[in-house]
Amino acid sequence: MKRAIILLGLLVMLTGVAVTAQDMVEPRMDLVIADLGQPETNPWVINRHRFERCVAESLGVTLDEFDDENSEEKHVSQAESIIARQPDGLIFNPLTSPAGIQVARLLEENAIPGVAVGRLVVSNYDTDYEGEHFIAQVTQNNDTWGQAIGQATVDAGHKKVAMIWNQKGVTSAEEIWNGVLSVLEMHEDIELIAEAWDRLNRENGILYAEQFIARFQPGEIDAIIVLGAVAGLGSQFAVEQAGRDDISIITTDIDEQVAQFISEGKLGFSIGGHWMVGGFGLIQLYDYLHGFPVENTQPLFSLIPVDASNIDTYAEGLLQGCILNDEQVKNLSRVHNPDADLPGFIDEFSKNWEEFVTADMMEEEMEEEESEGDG
Amino acid sequence: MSENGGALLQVEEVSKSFGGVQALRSGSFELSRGEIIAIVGANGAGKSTLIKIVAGVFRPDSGRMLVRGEPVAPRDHNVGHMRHLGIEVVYQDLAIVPNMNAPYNLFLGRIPKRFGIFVDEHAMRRKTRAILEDLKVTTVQSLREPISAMSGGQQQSVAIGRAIAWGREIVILDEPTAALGPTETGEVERLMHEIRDRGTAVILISHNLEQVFRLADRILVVHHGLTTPAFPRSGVTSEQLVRAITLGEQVA
Amino acid sequence: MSGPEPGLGVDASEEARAGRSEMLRNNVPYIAIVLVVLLFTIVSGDRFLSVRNWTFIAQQTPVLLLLAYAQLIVVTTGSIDISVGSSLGFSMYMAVLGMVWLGPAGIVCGILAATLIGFVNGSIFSLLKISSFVTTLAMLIIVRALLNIISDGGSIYVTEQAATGTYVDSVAAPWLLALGRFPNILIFALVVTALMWVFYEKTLFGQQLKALGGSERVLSLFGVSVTWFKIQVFVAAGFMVGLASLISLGRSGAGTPRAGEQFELDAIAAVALGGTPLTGGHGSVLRTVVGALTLTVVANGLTIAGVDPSWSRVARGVLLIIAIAISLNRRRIGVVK
Ligand SMILES: Nc1ncnc2c1ncn2[C@@H]1O[C@H](COP(=O)(O)OP(=O)(O)OP(=O)(O)O)[C@@H](O)[C@H]1O
Ligand SMILES: [Mg+2]
Repeated sequence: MKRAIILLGLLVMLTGVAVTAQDMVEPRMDLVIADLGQPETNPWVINRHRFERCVAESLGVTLDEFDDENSEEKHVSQAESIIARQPDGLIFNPLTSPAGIQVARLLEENAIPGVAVGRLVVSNYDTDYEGEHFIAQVTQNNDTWGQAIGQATVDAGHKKVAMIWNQKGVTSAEEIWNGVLSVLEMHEDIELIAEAWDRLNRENGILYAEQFIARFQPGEIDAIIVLGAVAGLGSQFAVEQAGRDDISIITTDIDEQVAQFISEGKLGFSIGGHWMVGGFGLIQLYDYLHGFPVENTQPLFSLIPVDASNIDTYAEGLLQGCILNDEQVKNLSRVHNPDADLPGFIDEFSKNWEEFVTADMMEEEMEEEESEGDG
Repeated sequence: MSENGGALLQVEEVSKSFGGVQALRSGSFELSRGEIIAIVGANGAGKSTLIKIVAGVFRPDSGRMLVRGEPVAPRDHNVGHMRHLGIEVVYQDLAIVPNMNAPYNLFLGRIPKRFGIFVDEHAMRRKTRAILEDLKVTTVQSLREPISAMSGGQQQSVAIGRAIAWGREIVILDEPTAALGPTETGEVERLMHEIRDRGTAVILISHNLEQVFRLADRILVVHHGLTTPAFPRSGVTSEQLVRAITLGEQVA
Repeated sequence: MSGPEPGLGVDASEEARAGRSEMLRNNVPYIAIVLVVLLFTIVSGDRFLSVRNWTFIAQQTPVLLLLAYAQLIVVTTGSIDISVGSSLGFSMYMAVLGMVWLGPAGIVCGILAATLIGFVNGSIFSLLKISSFVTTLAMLIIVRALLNIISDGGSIYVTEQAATGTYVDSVAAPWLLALGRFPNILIFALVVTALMWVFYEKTLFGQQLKALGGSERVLSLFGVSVTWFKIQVFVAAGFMVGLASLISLGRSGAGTPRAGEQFELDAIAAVALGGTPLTGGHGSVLRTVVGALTLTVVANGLTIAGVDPSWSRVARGVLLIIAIAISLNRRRIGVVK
C-alpha cells in the first residue's frame, strides 16, 4: 500500500515536470460534468452516451447523465436541478431550441459553462448569442447530411421515392430534408411520390410504410427514405413482412441492428457518426474549464455514409463506442496537446474515419464474435 | 285559487314510458289540503313513477297536472318549479349525497348564500340543529362529518326533515318506514299527523296495509300502470284492497 | 346541542382506532413531503437545501400546481381531464400570438383559449354524454394537432428587448419574463392558491363539485341543473389552465408546438399524491399543494442525488402508489373504478 502511494507520488511529480517542461496547464482530475439529453430510446442517444463516456474516461472527467423525459418543461426543470448539483460544466442536447434558450439563460445566471450538442440553440452563435457561459454548440452538418442521403438515393438508381420525416417544426430535420431535396431536384427522373411528417417512432415507421405499400404497386415505388433508425427499422420490418423486396429503405443512424441489416442487404443505406458531437463537445468544455478560449463556437460534424461496402469497418470500429483511444482523445485537447485542432478534426473525420479503425479493434470484434458463438 | 272543490293537486291521466317500458299508462287522482292519501300497488306497478311526475322529476308523456287549479305548463314541469310550489319528496332510497354533511343534504338545491357565491354554513348549521331537534333526533355527533357516517335512522331523519322543512303544500313519502324499527316507524307516523295538522297534504306509498289503514284518509291503487279511483279508507276491507292490488279489481 | 349519547353500543376504543387511522390517512401527504425533504437532506445536504435550489423548486412548482388545481376541480366531480397538457401548450401559444397581434393585453387570448377548450370539453361530456376520459382524450389529440397547424411547427419567443431580427417571431415583454421568475411566479401561485382555496372550500360552486362527485342522481332529483353545472366545471378547469399558461409562458419564454406535452400525467399524479381519490367526492387544495410540491421535490432531489434517470422514474412511480395506497379511504370509496 505504502509503496503504491510513493509510486503514485513519483508519478505525479514526473507528470508535473513533464507539464512544466512543455509549458502546459495541469490537467484537472476532479472535474464533474453533467449531461442532459433525452432518454436512451434511440441509437443516437445511446451511441452519444457511449462515446462521451469514453472521452470522459480518457480525460479523467466524471460524467453524470440525466434525461428530460422528452418534455420541454422537464428539460428546463432538470437543467435547474442539475445546476443545483453544482457541476463544473454541462453538456446538453436541447430538446428544442426554445428549451435550449432557457438552459443557456440558466447557465448565464449561474455562471456554469455549457455546450449544446446535437441541436442548435441559436441558428448562428457568433451573431445571435451574447452571453459568455454558454460557450459553444457542436452539431452536425445538416446540409451535407441530407445531400449524402440524396446522393445515396441517386447512386442506388431509385426513381420513385417516398419519405417519412419528423413532424414539422424541428429545424434540423427540416434542414436535412432540404439537403436531400437539393440533390434529388438535380435529377429530373427522380420523383418524390409521397411524404409523411409525424413523430418518429417504430410504430409510425411501420404505419406509414404499410400505407405506402398499400398505395403503390411494385414498380410504382423504389425506396422509402426514413429519418432515424428507430422509425427506419420499423419501415424495414413492414416491408419485409409484406414481402416487398422491390422497396429499399434508406435511413439514418447506425446501431447493431442497422449494421446487421445493411450487411445482409435488407437496408440499402444509412448514415451516422453524428453522435460523436457529444464527446467533441466534452473536449471543448474540458479545454474551456482549463482556461482555453473557445476556437470555434459552432463546429459542424460531417456524417459518415455507410452501405454494404464499408459497414463492417463501421460496425467494428465505431459501434464499440471508443473509436478513439486515450492518446487520440488527449491529442484533441489543448490541455494535453498545444497543437490540438479539434474543429479541424470534427470537420475532417468523416473523410478519414476508417484510419481510426485499427487492426486491434477488428481483432477484438472477431474474438468477441467467436466467444459469443461458443457460448 | 280555483273553485274546483278546493283541490290542491289534480293529476289527470298522466303517462310515462322509458324506451319500450310503459312505466305508467294512466294515472289520475286529486288531493286536498290536510289530507293523507296512500298509494298502494305491487312492485313495479308504477307508484314511484307517478309520484316522480308529481315531484317534477319526470315530465309526463301525456296528461296534465294542476296545482291549486293552475295547470303546470310542460316547460315548467321540473323539480325546481315543483319545489318552488312547495312539493317535496322523501325518496325510497332517501336520496342523500353520502359524502356531504347533514346541513348540505337538508339544504340541497336551496343552499343559503352570502354575497351571492359563498355558502352560509353558519345559518345552515343553525337551522339544521333546529330541524333535527324538532324531529327529536338528538344523537347526531357532528354536523361537519359526511352524512354517511350517521346511522340509517339518522339519515332517514335528515331526509324526512328536508321534506317537511320545505314542503309547505305537499309532502310525498315513498316507503318511508320500510327499513325502520317499530319505534322509528311510530315517530314517522306521528310526524305525518303533525304536518297534516298544519295543513300540508301527504302522499304515502307503502306496502304495509296496516299502516295504510292506520294513516290514510283515502287509498289509491296502481295496477300495471293504471290507477283506480281513490276510495275512502272506511269504504274498503283489507281483502278487497289486496284483490285490487293483485288483480286490478275495482272496489265499488 | 347534541353530545355523544352513552351506551350506543359502539366500542369506544374501536372508534378511537378508526379515528387514528383516519388521521394518519389525512396527513399522509404532509408526512410524505417531510420524509422526502429529510431523505434528500441526508443524501445531498447543502446542495439540496441551498437557497438556489429552493428558488428553482419555487419556480418549478407553480405551473404544475395550477394544472393540478384544474385537475382537482374536475376530479372532485368524479371525472378526469387529460387534455390539460395540450390545452396548456395551445393556450401559451395563443397568449403569445395574442400579444403579437394586440400588444400586452393580447395575453388574455391564452386564458380565453383555455376556457374555450374547457367549454368544449364540458359540452361534449355533458350534452353528448361521452365519458370525460374519452372526451378529453380526443381533445388532447385535437388541441395538440391544432397547435401544430397554427404554429406550423414554429415557436414565438418572448424577449426582454424589442426584436432585432434574430428570431422569426418574437414579442418583447420583459414583465412577462419577470412573472415567470422567482419570486413573482411564486407570489402569483400563492395568490391563485388563496383564491382557489376560497373557491373550493367556501363557495357554493366548490361545495357542489364535491356533491356532484358524491351523487349526480340525487342532485338532479333536487332540481340542481347538473347538465349546465358539468359544463361549468370544465370551464372553471379551463380557466385555471389559462392562468397556468401565463406563468408557463413567462417561465419558458416561448410559445412552442411541444409545450405542455405529458403534463396531464403530472397534474393527475399531483392530485393523487394530495390524497384526492380519482373517484371524486373529496379533495383538498392544501394537500394538492403538498402533492405538487412532493412531485417537484422528488424529481429535483433524485437528480441532485445523481440517481440514474430511469431509476428515478421507477422511484417516482413507486412513491405514487405507496402514497395513494396509504391515503385511500377504502371504506368511504366503496368501489374503485
Ligand atoms: N328510469 C327508468 N328507466 C326505465 N324504466 C323504469 C325507470 N323507472 C321505472 N322504470 C320501470 O317502470 C316500471 C314501474 O316502476 P316504478 O319504480 O314506478 O314501480 P313501483 O311501483 O314504484 O315499484 P316498487 O314497489 O318496487 O318501488 C318498472 O317496470 C320499472 O322497471
Ligand atoms: Mg317504488
